[in-house]
Amino acid sequence: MAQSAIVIGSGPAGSITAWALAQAGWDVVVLERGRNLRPGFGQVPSGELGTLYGSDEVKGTRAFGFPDPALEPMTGRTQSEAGQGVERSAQGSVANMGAAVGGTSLHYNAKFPRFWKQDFTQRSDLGPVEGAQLADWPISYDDLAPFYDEVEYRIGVQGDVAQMPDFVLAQAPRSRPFVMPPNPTGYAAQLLAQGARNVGFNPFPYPAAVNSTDFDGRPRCNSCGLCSGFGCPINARGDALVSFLNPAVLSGRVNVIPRAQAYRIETTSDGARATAVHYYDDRGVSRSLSADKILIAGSPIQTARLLLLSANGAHPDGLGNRSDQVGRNLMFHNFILGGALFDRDIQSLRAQSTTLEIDDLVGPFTGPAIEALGVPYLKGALVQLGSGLPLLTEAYTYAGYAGYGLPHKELMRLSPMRRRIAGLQFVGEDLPQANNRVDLDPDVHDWHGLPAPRVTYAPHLHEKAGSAYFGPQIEALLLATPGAVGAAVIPNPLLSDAAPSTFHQGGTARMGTDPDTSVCDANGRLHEVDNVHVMDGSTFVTFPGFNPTLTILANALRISRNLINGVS
Amino acid sequence: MHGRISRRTLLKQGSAAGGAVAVLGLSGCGSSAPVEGAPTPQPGGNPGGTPVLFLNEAELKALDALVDRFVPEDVDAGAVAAGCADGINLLLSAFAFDPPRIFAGGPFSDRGGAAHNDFADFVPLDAYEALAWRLKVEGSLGLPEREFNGARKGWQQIYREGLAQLDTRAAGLGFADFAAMPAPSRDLLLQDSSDALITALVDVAFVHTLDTMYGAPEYGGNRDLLGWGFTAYDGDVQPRGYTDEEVENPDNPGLLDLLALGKRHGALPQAALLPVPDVEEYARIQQSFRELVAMTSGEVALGVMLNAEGRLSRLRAEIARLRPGAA
Repeated sequence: MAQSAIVIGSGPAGSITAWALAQAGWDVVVLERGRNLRPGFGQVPSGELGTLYGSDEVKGTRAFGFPDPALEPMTGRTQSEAGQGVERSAQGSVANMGAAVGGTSLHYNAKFPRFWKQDFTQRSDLGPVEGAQLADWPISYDDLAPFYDEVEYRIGVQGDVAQMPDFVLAQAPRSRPFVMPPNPTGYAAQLLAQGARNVGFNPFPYPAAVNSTDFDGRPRCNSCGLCSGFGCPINARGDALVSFLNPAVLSGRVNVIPRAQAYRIETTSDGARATAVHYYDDRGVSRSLSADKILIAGSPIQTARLLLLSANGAHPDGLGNRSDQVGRNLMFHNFILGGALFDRDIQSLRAQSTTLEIDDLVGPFTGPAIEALGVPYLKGALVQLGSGLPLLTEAYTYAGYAGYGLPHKELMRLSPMRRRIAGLQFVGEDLPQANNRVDLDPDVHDWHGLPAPRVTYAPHLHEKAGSAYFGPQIEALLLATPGAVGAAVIPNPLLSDAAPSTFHQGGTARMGTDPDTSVCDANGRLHEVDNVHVMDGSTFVTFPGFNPTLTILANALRISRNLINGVS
Repeated sequence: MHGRISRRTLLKQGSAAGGAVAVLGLSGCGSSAPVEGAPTPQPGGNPGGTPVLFLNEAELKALDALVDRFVPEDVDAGAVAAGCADGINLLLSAFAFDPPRIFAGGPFSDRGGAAHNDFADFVPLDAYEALAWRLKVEGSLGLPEREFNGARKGWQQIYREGLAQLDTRAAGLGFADFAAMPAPSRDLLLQDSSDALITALVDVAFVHTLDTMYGAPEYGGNRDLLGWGFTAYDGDVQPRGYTDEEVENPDNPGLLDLLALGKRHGALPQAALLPVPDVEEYARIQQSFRELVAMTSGEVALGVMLNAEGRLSRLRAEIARLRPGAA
């Protein structure tokens, strides 16, 4: 008899899990709280799928593909507010990920760097940092490497090994070249790349799951520029749905139930095994399913919420939460935003977004200058070069600064932001902290009456110090950009303690070998529940400064294969 | 108000069809008597009936006078010529249509080389989306299934009360109505933060004006692509996209391009050597430059817009969080 699994969440982790298990003959049901936005899903090959997305900014402002902020609110507060007894200072989207069949990958930027070897042994290599719950991962880069390879070849990643600096390849060694060459580099990114070279940095083509050639029955990208936040209208981007979930459903072994909100995992009375998943269907009717394995892939905040909602007599503080670590160690990326200003249109938007990467600020960095900032070391991040923004986004931004009327219109006409700034982003590492956490809001509920997830957050001193240390170096790059007439950086961690506006999220159910300090083992299995595994970025022990989706996919594939092979 | 076709045409059709739409008043409404197309708490919109738009002629007149202050006409057309009031009326009347006019279809309009305009075919909403958008447009209306986090006033009521209040306040100042007030007087009235009805109206109406001024014209504004004209925006370019040559090379090369990169451009047309930097213009840009950098990340910008939930006050609060000196 075939093994069976219920996968909760159809984003990257859930989709690749369903795909891998179906390949091995498992029967899989996927519960997804969002709807399907790809006509033909589960019926036609991925190259023939339609899409309800378009190059339509209004859809973005109307949260298309996202949970509705009123029906599914999240709340937020800073650590200091929590200390003062403030229940919440934000309510709405806060840090909501996308919610649709395929998850946030439907409208992600598809940047696919690998983590580095050093990221898995940070605690051992660099020692403790006060106020941070640093730990080594229970796996190594070498454990993930074959799955990085497999994912890259399945989803279709562009890049150029020959242009990658040796220090990058030493930390993220590759056994194979990329699937396809890089897309053309936008003009704005070319300018920034010269600025980077002028200060001694080494820009190279950013690995991305975007077709630069026809691949897997889907066309090459034509550089419309509307990537992050937009579904690709021409199906040129590899994602969880086209590369994994749709083929999995076509195999006949996977059933996806959209608009299914999982709200409780039931266990045996001793709590040792999960017996059912309860969910609300698209009509709000409570239903339940059972399977051999319950595999959670809701993304860090929703995964933690489900575990907390599943508290019972055997698990009084939440499923698998004897360690009191469920929901803790929530990590975001702390961006430093930068821009070089030009006196002319440098066409930032006319390219696949951010086509170049710099790894010269990844670190770690040590020495007196770092210690003077109050931390033993600094780990930085990659820098993505050459971003641009479309018109309505520009209009919203000026509304926040300039209000309405002629000043706003004048800014729209001059267009400093859209036409004259070449943007970059430093995707800063966020150290894990016990008090950066998800819990259940005591008062705010979703439309089912379930407690909303509440995020309590503050950047660690490491992130603030990083902003102070790396910000000027980024500004130097911008000022060294040919033709730039001005430059500025915005070090987010120095400006606000609130949770950053980013869809990069990790932690809340970290892997580890010690049940007292971690939620699940190296296979994502809850230490205290035999047949429940966490598959997504919740398992991450640290959150190095690289876009996380490739590692989420690779790690979920690794765990899936171990499940299939009976590795415990 | 040239070109105001949607409502008049639809009203005429509605009248000819015998006025099939139920009339239901809003409680606590501070304006004139309820008109056709007021919110119905039942799901399903107006099945079988002719769409009747929410705002009446007087309200549209006031709304035109309002959006005129948000994006005024100067050397370039503004929100009135772009039809923003009509676009907002369509949003307020979204559930008079089947499918409701919330999300334009995909993947292409016919502006980037596609034969058919998919944007014009709005996306059918599922029950979740219908609830979410009725809550925004109509409010909770005392319905238990909409009040899981308390009562919520909908945009329809905010506009109805706010537009009526503008006319009332104008009358108190001796004008026939809000639209009769000179532009500077209207600006002053809109800045009266002690008037809760006007403040609430401005809070949502400005953002809706931006959507209809600079968003895709299928939402009912951006008439004749006016919003994409003076801003030199290409709009949606799919499925044509850009060629590698267009991506890699600037339309208007700078001096450095000509010196350093000129060989890539081959025979450069003389017209492409423009523009010469305008020093006066640059000074104004530089003034606000540092703050604007905060939004150069698409991801950060999207997060800010989602959190704003279509309200100016929330948008300002979100952006204030990213401003230097805000800490």
